[in-house]
Amino acid sequence: MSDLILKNVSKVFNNNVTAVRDFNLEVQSGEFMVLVGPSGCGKSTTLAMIAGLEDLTSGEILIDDTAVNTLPPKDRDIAMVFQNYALYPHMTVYDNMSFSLKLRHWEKSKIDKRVKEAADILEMSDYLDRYPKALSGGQRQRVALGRAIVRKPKVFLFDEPLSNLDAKMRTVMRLELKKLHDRLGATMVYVTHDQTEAMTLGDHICVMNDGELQQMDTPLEIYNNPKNIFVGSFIGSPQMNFIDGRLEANSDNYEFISELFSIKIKINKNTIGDDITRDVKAGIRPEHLFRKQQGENDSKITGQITIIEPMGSETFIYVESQQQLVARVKADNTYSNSDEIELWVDSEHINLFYADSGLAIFSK
Amino acid sequence: MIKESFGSRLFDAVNISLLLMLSFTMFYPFLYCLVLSLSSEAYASQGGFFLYPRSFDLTAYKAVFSKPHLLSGMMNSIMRVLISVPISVLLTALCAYPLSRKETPYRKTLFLFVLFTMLFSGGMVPVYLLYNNIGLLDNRLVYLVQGLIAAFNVILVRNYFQNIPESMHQAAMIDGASEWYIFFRIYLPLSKPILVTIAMFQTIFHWNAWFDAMIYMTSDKKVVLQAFLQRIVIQQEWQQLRDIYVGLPPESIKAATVIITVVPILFVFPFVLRHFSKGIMLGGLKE
Amino acid sequence: MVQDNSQYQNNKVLLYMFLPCAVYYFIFDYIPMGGLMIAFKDYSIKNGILGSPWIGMGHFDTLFGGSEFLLVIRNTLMISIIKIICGFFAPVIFALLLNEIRAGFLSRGIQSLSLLPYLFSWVILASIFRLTFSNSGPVNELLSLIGVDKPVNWLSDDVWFIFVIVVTDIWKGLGIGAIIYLASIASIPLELYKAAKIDGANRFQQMLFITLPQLKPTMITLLILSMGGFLSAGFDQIYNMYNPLVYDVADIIDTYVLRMLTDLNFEIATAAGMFKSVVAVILIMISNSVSKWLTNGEQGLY
Repeated sequence: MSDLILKNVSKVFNNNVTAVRDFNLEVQSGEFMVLVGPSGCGKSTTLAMIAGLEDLTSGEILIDDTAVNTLPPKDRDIAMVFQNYALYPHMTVYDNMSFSLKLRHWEKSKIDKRVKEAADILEMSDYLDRYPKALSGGQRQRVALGRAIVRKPKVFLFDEPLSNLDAKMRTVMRLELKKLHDRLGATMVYVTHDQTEAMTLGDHICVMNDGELQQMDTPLEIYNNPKNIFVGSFIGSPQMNFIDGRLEANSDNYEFISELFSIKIKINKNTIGDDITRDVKAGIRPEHLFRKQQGENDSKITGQITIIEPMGSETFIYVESQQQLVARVKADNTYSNSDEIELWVDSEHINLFYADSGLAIFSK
Repeated sequence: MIKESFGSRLFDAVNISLLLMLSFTMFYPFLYCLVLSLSSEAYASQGGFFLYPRSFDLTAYKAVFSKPHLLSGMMNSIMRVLISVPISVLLTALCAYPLSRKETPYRKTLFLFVLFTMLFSGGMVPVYLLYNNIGLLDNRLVYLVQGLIAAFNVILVRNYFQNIPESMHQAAMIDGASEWYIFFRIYLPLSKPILVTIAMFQTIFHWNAWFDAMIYMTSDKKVVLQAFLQRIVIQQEWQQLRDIYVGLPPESIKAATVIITVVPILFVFPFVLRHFSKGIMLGGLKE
Repeated sequence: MVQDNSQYQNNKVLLYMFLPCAVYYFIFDYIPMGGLMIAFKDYSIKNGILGSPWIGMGHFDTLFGGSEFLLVIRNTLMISIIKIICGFFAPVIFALLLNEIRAGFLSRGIQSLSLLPYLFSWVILASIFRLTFSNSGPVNELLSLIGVDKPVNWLSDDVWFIFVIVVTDIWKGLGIGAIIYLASIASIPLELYKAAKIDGANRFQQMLFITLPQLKPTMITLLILSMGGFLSAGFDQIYNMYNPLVYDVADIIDTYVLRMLTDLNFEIATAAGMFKSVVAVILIMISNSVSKWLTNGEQGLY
């Protein structure tokens, strides 16, 4: 397997639209790297540049320390799985999978072996003779996967492969993909707009917005320590609560003051300097709005319940208190609309961000 | 920055050159005619390969316009198109609508009834005798009847209607609309693209029709422009003009007649292009 | 099942809508079909169609007994076959080549120009071609520039005439034919080409394995439809471009029928026309069945 390095990769389209700006990334050999972000963030363009389907405006792409950006796709030893499967409609499943090997003039017996291998792994040996139009969405996606596996490429590329499947199939295929990665140990780059897929599949996640890399980290790090407001709001469902306020230096350390609540926070003085009041936003994940006070430093927010969403295993409560907040609580049935409710926050579970730049203030 | 193979670039060069040469042959014949029509005796008889007019002599045009039935021919053609095309489009759509609705009784039979007319016909003689019997001979109404409801067009419109979401029809039914209302106020407005296509086919058909004028009309003043052109060039009636305009080369007369007939259609050309431009643009947008 | 009254009312309305068209077809298409009786009768204007006596296949015997009609059939078949063999793939190839041009303005410009001939009738085109292919016309002039001394009798020599007929027919149909195929090509998802590039296909292979298969259904439909016009061989074009010098190759069924009509030989004209129509229908049915048989029941006109 191979590693993939992107150095200062940029893409500007003909109408002066900058799709990707100075993108740097290192994917280790055998790693599953996810590129995630909203529509238009540049993730698909980046993938297309890795594949060779788009030219770079500047920068370099290296696979196994060899620059590939001047090579056409077929010489880069990559394989790609598309959102719409892109199966050749007039060829059987077998022909679809063997097409690339036939083009490379492989021996028939070798082709046969490879195709059968891939079919076994994906459990689709039964429908090698069928045509794509006779297959369901999930089966077609398997064929698309098979087409990629057969090549044993250095890097696998995925462009939102699960977006066209129904919800149930998506969950099934997600697991299959994870198992496939474990089994093949291949380097994989996966593009999606779905943050659940990103969190569950990736060894590392790149969150992208507006053509720029926002943060590259493990899923848990991204979840717990988002580098800016965008990452904090994009990852996590329901979305992180943001409360405007200011950060003031006081005798102990710092205090966060807002209209909803105030709380003392410990922050390393070297991170921000002292005695300066700053406008900040406090980010609190829904599961960190507690029903009970846990520590003596905790602060209370009171508000009125507006919407209750029972999920079965837990309940999401939307609370109006100067602004809308969402809390994730245990699934007791003791809530009704318009009830008054108390929520507690603690200083360990607050992510602070500078209001002007959106960057995180790290307390450690 | 991705290097393209030499073979690929060579192919592009050859392809573009060939296609450009082909496009040249598409319009050169008309250019040749134009030049010829403006040429005086000296140049015209020289013959050869013209790229631009060497003289600007309008005598040929004067001669052709002097023929009495040119203007009546043009009027007939214009009137023919203006009257026949809208009626044809409306009736075609009216025929296609019941065929597109699943609940129409005997729908399959009706469709076969229409389709069969595309495959089989009685031929020239029975049609001629019929026109004779109902008084359509030497009658401008015969122009209206030609291809009024072409089965091919009906099929095109029917298919278009079938692609309109059924929910439109259902919503209208719930609102209490009758089928006539739905046809005129919902389906027709929604079908502008295909109706324009049919109108274009019919316009070109009617404008270019000459054979019907030739066999069904006996009065000269009732023939259409194409029939007039046919008589001058193909049936060699240009010779009569030679006697009047002595020294006018026959080629110029023929060429002038062609140009006069061609100019009105050229006004339609940009319209045709814009209509097909969707297909043109999508076809060229491969990369 | 209860007959819903309002439903029934609606359905009758639909039939009323169809009525005007039904009347038109009946009068102008179906009644003439009845007129085909003339081919089996000894027709005289005095007696009218119904009053004239039956004579069975007599006219057909005359038709096929003489050599004139057989010659005419031979010419028609020859011209049609040559036109189909040479011309069927031309618009397809043109569309494919046009599709390969990446500069949008170039491909649009070329396609626009290629549509010009479609606008013009064969009267106009024949007039123009009579001028361009004349002995002193630009074509012969061009030939003399590359060393061919004697001007070619394009329109008066048997072989060259057929050549001109076929070539100009293809020329006229290129633009409009290509549009139909380009519409099909436009509906191919771009992702297929991306996948093919990654699989390693070059441009030619992409054309062969993705674009061309997509055109197959359209090509088959158009081929079957063209069977209907097989015995017409382009009357419009030939009538306007031929002259007595090439009658023995250019006289086709329709020109023959026209001659019979002008000679007021109604029965023979009808018989010949009927022969043409019947064969056309049979050809369409056969080609439709063949196509269904070859593509396992999928592809056909109906």
